[in-house]
Amino acid sequence: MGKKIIVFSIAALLLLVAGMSLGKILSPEPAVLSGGSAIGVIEVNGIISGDASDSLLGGTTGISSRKVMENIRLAAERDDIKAVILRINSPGGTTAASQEIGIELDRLRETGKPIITSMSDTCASGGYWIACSTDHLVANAGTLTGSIGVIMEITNLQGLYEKLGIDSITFKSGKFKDMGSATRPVTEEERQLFEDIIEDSYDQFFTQVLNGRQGKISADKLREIADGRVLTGQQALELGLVDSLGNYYDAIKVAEKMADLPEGTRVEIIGSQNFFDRLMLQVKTPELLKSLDLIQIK
Amino acid sequence: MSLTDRLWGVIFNPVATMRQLTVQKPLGEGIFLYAAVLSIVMVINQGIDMLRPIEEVLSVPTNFIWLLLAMGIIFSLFLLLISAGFLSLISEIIYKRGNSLGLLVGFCFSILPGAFGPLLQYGSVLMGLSWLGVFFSIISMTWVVVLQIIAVKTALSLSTRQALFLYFSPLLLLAVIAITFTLLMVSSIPQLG
Repeated sequence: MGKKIIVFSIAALLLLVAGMSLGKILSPEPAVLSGGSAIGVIEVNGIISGDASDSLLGGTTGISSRKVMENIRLAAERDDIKAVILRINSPGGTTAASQEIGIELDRLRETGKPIITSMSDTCASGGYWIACSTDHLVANAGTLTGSIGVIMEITNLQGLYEKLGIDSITFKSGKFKDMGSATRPVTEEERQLFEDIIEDSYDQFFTQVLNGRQGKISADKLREIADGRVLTGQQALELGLVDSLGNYYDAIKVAEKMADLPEGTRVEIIGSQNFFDRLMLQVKTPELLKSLDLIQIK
Repeated sequence: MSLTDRLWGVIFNPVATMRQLTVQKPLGEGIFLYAAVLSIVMVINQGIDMLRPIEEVLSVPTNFIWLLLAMGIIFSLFLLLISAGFLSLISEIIYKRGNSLGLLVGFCFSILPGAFGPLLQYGSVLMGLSWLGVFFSIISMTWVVVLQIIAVKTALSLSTRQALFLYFSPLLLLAVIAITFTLLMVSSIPQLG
């Protein structure tokens, strides 16, 4: 009888712990073992887009703005996270995706938690857009940054279609409904409309940078360099586009200082990429992602 | 002998229980136990990974847990089958004694203490004593190996020395092959000077 009780008790304990583990696995939020303070790291790797469709192995194509926003929200909600590091390695992305991440970062700043950008290889265009919604920008001297500008590319394949004997017929409700079509040249009216879109997107980008770098660069100086040019971290520092030079660990030090945290504060990557996400990064190509987007900040 | 007696016996009276198991050969029960323990261990190990407050958590996405679990069980059962067959064959060649099915059942039941390691490791990580968890894991793995050697000894009616030799013979074989290969490679390198 005693034997049975012991065997069943051990089996029950095993099942209980397995159940707890399963609960932890299925829970979307990372575990917080102890109280105290932490610095949250949010990673932005690759081309930023609003696309969040699941790929074959469970990952998403590109860095989804939705995922980044979820992580920002999580950092805002968690009391133990006192400062956030935005680790960016991105050449840019779509206007709207960068914009919505920027808005969410502004909301996080309103909670009083300092946000520090740590630039990796590249933090350009849309990547720089979101960096402008943080309190302090740390770049490596060789980081490629800037690229403040907007680009849209339309390819006219009419000649090719004619050579192939393909006759495309378009039925439309309005004269601009097929603007940007690859089957014919762009008209003057359409060209003007596209230029208006580019101009408006550029103005939004310019305003974002101007607001983000207030007191660090004048509007005139910014207008001079906001022509799409790419800059190194060193050049960006001289121009006032970043606040200091340093690596990831220097950014952590800045975060500790800004949030008044002791040295060696726990660092946690929020919503870190899993094994298959890392695996999928190897097969994601910018060319593939580029084909998904019409407008890209560049 | 009930399942409870078998489980109890594997932990507290392993030699006599293994002897009975390798004679009675309750294969279905053994495979069920093996699959159940392995599932629990895999789930708890994944849970331990999720618990660690580390910078990088390399966890498996939840969509794949069940697939990996099933694949893990099938693959390790397959390996167990090969191990039992291989050791029994070697024993027949060297000692003229074979009992592959009995050995397989013994191996299946030997996994039982393997569940205690992750269980105690989970508790240790919760208490912030990760190093203690590693210690428990090593002990439970050693316990499993000892039980497997007992299974070899009892299933094939060998002495302890013979069982040890047989159990580690695949490793010895691999070592001999590796040394021979290295020596051949070294000897084929042209001399300098």
